[in-house]
Amino acid sequence: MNKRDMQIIVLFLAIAIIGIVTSRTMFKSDGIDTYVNIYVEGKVYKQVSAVKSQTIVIERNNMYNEIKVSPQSVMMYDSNCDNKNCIHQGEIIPDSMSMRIMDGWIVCLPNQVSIEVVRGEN
Amino acid sequence: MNAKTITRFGILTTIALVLGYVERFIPIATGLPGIKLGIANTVLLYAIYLMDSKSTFLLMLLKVILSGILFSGLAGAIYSFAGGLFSLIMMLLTKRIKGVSIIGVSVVGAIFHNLGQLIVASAVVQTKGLLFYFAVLTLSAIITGIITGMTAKYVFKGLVYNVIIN
Repeated sequence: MNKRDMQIIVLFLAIAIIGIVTSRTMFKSDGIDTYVNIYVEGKVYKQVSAVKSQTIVIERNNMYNEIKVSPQSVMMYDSNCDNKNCIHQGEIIPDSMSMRIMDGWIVCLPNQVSIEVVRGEN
Repeated sequence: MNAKTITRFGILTTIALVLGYVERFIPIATGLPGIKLGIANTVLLYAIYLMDSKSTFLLMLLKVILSGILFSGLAGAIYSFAGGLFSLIMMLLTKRIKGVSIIGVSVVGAIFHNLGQLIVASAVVQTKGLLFYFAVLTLSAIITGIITGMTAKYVFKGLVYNVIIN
């Protein structure tokens, strides 16, 4: 590895760090209570409060997703997509979600469903 | 196209496909799309350094189409094509910069492979989540890009050495 390589690496490292800081500070939605945004095909499908436990089933054109929401955690409980990445992404615990690699997000790319947990102030 | 060229393309396409497939069994980040070793990129690096850019594009296309048919399906092939095209163009451009070695080219390739795929994913995911994930993917691409670049560097050294000796 020579000097030019290091310059390229440092440049992209800086871009990544700026990206993380910007997205964590500027693009953060907030609310008084914790709530969950569910997006289907890029559009808001439903917004639910995480105060009470519930199960949301999204079923369309042979695509099936089941989301479990409770005050303690949010997770993709079941999905019929082929890679099951969304299930492997595990549960989001609002109190400690900033430690998660994907932050407050669970994304199922094949079924085009994404979940965003917005942590409340309380 | 003569027999030698056809054989060479056949071998390179096979290596790329097998490496891409084997990589699925190395779980460095289960469930996180885009975070992977990218070792199949060594084949494209080989083509960039030891063949011409037209052959490199052809190899990328062959890999995307065949791995779509064999493993990932149409949706997967669209993601790989966007990633492959983006990363290839950027690798060819980076190679032209004076003083950049194969490791720098590999890192740029890894980063822009993710960017191409994220652009396709932006139809599915909300934009504010994407910036954050792009940053995470870039960090991972820097590390995996260095590993892949170093692998390619030493493999080529061995290849060139053996070809000259034998």
